[in-house]
Amino acid sequence: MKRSKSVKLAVVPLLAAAFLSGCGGEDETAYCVDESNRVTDNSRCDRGDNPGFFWFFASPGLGRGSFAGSGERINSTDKAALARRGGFGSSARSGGVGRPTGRTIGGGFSGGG
Amino acid sequence: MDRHDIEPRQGWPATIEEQGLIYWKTPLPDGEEISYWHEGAYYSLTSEEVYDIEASARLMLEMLIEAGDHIIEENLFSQMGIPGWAVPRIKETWESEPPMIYGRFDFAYGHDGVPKLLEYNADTPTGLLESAAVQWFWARDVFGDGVDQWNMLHEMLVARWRELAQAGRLPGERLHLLHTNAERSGEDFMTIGYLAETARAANLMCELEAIESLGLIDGQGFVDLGGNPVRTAFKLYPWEWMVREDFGAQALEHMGDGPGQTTWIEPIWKMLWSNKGILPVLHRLFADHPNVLPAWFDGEQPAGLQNFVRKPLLAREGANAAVVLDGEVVERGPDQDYGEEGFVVQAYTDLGDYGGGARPVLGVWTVDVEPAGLGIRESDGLLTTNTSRFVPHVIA
Repeated sequence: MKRSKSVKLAVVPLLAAAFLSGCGGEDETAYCVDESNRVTDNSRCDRGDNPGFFWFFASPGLGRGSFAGSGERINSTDKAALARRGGFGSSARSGGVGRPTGRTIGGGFSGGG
Repeated sequence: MDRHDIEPRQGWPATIEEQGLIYWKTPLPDGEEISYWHEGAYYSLTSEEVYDIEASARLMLEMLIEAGDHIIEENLFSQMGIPGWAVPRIKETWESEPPMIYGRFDFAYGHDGVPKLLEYNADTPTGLLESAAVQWFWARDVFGDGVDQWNMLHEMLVARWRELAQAGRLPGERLHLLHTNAERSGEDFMTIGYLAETARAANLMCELEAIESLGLIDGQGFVDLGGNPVRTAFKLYPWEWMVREDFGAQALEHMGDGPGQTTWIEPIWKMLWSNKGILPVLHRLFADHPNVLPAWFDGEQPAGLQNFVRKPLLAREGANAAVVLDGEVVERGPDQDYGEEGFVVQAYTDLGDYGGGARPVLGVWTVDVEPAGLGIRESDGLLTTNTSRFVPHVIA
């Protein structure tokens, strides 16, 4: 026999369902928001010493002054938020590393300073 | 090896999606979609053929080690489009051998029955889930529990993670698996998802994340979205892209197994094997070997060469490749702006018509340095591209 004795998939079906329902591989951008989730200038979060401001992760397209809806937010003074992000990903072709799909792609994560 | 027509399973799209193959539809430029998974046919190989191809893959791995040494000794990095500042880390990891997981040879297997190396996808091979799992389930569904297939991938991946973990070679509390969120069909996401499945079966804690969201804290190294240090990262993202991006220099600087450092899988020396420049190097060293096709760096090929394939040093899925027969370009791969680093020229070889114009390429998987299984993709044209189909196989 040249094949695996058993192949059990526990995580893969869940990930597949999550991706199909839009929860996986989402294109997100980081916004700097205030206490009331109003989008403000990124520089207020960049400093990392401004406890009233948060990084908020949501789909691209929100303008300054608009209110972000529900979503994950991280206090801008958290260690995680101090990291520079977005330093990888700029050369990704539309197909990633597998078969190119020919679809148009957004820019990916682009916040955090 | 033979190709057979067969009735697809009832409801197969739902079945393969449940098994993670959610990226089976390939959109065409005209808006039509074709299926990348094709179970209206299958290939059958004899045990002798499988042993023969497996032996070729083993030999090829030995030749690749000599080829890697040759690149380093002859300093062929710039000819291969590898930036000079990455060379010290490549040389260092080539010697220290940090953990590696897997790769995929692509072999032509024409009617002379001799596997011929087309290329080795050593850094970021895809097609993994359909090879390891989806075609395995297909074979059991269609032919029953006693069916055989050249496919130990799942078992060997789990064993490989376990071996590395037990040897203490995967630093940190969890394994980070990184994909690019520029890929929208789910193929890259499900590939690392499947790798996480195998790592989890080896009792590793896994964290999936987009490489775009990887963070860097000065003086502390790479962190995930939660701020946790990224000590071990499997990245489905090629080194040739990483070294040219903003965090490239830091990825090399913070490379290692100590605190504040990251053990990158696959290791950076795989830039030597996944680069098409490996093909002329193999030809230079093993010109008479039946599994090695004649190949040259572009410009070094003999005058008057009439039948060849010109491939970018760095590209995937036949992108920006061209097939030349009798001196004329007869087919081109999709244009994705590859080729600025240069090209190689490889002698043309017939993939063989296995019925109805179907031309297969054998994807022979390796886990660590062991052949582990087979995944076949076929095309109607001369190049295996993004419109090729995955077709399952059995050992008859």
